Amino acid sequence: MDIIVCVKQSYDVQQIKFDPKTGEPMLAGAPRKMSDMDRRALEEALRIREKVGGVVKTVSIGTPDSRDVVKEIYAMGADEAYILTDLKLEKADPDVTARLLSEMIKKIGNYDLILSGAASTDGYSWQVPAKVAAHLNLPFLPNAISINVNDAVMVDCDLGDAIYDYKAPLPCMVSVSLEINEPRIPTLSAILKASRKPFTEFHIKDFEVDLSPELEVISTAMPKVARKNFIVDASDASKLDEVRKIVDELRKENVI
Amino acid sequence: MERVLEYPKDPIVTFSKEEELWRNMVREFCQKYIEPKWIEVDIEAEKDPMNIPVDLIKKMGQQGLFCIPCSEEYGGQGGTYTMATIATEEIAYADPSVALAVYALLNNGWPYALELFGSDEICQEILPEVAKGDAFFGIASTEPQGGSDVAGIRTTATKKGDVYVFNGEKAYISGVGEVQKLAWGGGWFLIARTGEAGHKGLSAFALLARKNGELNDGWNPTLYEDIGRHGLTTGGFILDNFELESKYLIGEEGKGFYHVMEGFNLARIVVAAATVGAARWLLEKAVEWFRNRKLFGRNISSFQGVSFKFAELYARWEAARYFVYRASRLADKIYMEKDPSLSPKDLNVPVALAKNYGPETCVDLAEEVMKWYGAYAYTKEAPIFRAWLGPFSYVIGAEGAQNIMKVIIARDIIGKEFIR
Repeated sequence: MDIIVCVKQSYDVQQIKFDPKTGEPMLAGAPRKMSDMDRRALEEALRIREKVGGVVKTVSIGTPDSRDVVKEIYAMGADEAYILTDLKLEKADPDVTARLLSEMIKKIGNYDLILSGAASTDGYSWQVPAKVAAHLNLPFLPNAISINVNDAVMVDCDLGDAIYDYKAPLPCMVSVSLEINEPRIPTLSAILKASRKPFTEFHIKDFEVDLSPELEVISTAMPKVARKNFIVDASDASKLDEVRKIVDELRKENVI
Repeated sequence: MERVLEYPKDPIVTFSKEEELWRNMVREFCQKYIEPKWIEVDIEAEKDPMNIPVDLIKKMGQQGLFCIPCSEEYGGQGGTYTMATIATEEIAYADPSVALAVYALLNNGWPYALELFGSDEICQEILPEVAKGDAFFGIASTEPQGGSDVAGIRTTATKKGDVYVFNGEKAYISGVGEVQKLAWGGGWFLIARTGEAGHKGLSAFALLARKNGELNDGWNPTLYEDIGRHGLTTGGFILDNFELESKYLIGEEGKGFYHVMEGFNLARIVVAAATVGAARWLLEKAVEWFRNRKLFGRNISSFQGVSFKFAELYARWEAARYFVYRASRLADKIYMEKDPSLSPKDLNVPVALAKNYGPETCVDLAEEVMKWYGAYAYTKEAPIFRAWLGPFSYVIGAEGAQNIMKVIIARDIIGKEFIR
């Protein structure tokens, strides 16, 4: 079974600080990590390989500092990593990302199954896996919470209202949700071996891909939530009825 | 996970990409398995020291948190001493009672000392079991008459044919319960007298109280009730005609003092790292408290009596952290890179500075944080006291008394002949 996994080096959103004046995230030098759902996609690929054999390859795109993700990819146990980095990709939108990933996958060739996180930790658009499947003309099963593979792929998909069981012929594309598994944490020995393993770099010029975005980003500023400062004076026993106002206010806000 | 305290951006103590990734992986492991459990471990083992968190130790072994600097052929991770230091700091941050960090640091420092001086045969036998979390391997030097006077050790090891016969008593030894409870067993880097009085008559042994699940005759243990860092047992044992095959001699007969001193230097680096990790947790607890606790209508940190003390302790923490990583980098240069311009003695002062400074900073910080928290800190509901009592063991003297650290610094800087 040849499996290709799309893996993004995303920003660690829990550690990002925001500019207090503009509300925009301060991304220069912000900590990065492998996108949470992509990590689970890679874990799922490794588990499938452990069961049925095969090869696990990864494809990644991003800015040059995204190369660090390869160490973690190899430390987890992938066989081959392919990456395309360029400063021009700093603001790559889901469509550009999907176009490049699909071109890389075409170039690598030989795949039975393509896995990806359903959404990245930072961009969180939920669009890339479906777009990759469309570019590659593959069946697409979204938000998998379990995958079984033999001569076809059986997937439990969490589509919000219910869990749907789908079956698709191979090759196909599956995006995975956070619930699918608990990814392994690499040991030091695996990290040290990973750092010596070579990987393949692609360049934008290798592909005839239009890099013009389809998405116009107007703002990524943090929404301002003004506090209501609702004050109730219940400073002595005679004013205890005032407490009811708190309950009324919370009801009005649908909190209780 | 969001951190209250950003790890210092430091152009002097820098880490490679592999070290950063390793730190993140250890953090993830700790967040998942240690942070949710450490208080429960402390409470349960306080009730009975034999409530050892065996499953957690096994999991830590599977994650490769023991024998980090040991060779892969012995089941180790093939990492550096700095990588063991990073892991210890992070484990102590997740378990500031430091019980699990001390388990980890002992089972990194002393297995590595065994690999440095012991034979291939005993390393093959012992280290893979320690690495897996199925055996404990620590240090047994201290005796009832004291720990600092290593040259005055009284336990004897008399050679009879192909065995050494041990008689004597060891006290305040970590791991006495673990060697009985872990699947394989384990033992210690033990110092005993094989010759003349003084340090030249001492030899080092890999003394296994229990191996392959079988307890050896002549090893009579007792357990102590510690005031803190529950989850790691402390005890003593009497060796009553305990027989050990001579292959378990570490290095040469009569060189035990020198081997154990190098082992202490290595272990003290990670001891200090554990207190730096616990202190980072304490600093975060303080900052969280300052941002929420109001008195007289203001945050308590707006009183300079509080914030200045915090600033002083923060400075001490940064200095302690620097001492720790300088010492671990030096250890890497001496033992891993075999830098010909350095010798093991070059570690003496850097290690003594780290060991002297880290534990005291951590304990002083814990006391201040408890005062800032007020009466709440004096209840068992608040976890701060656990990070006070555990690291305090290292101020009292585990792995080398504080005054001995000062003796080492004064001796090596002023000169041996001028401090007598």
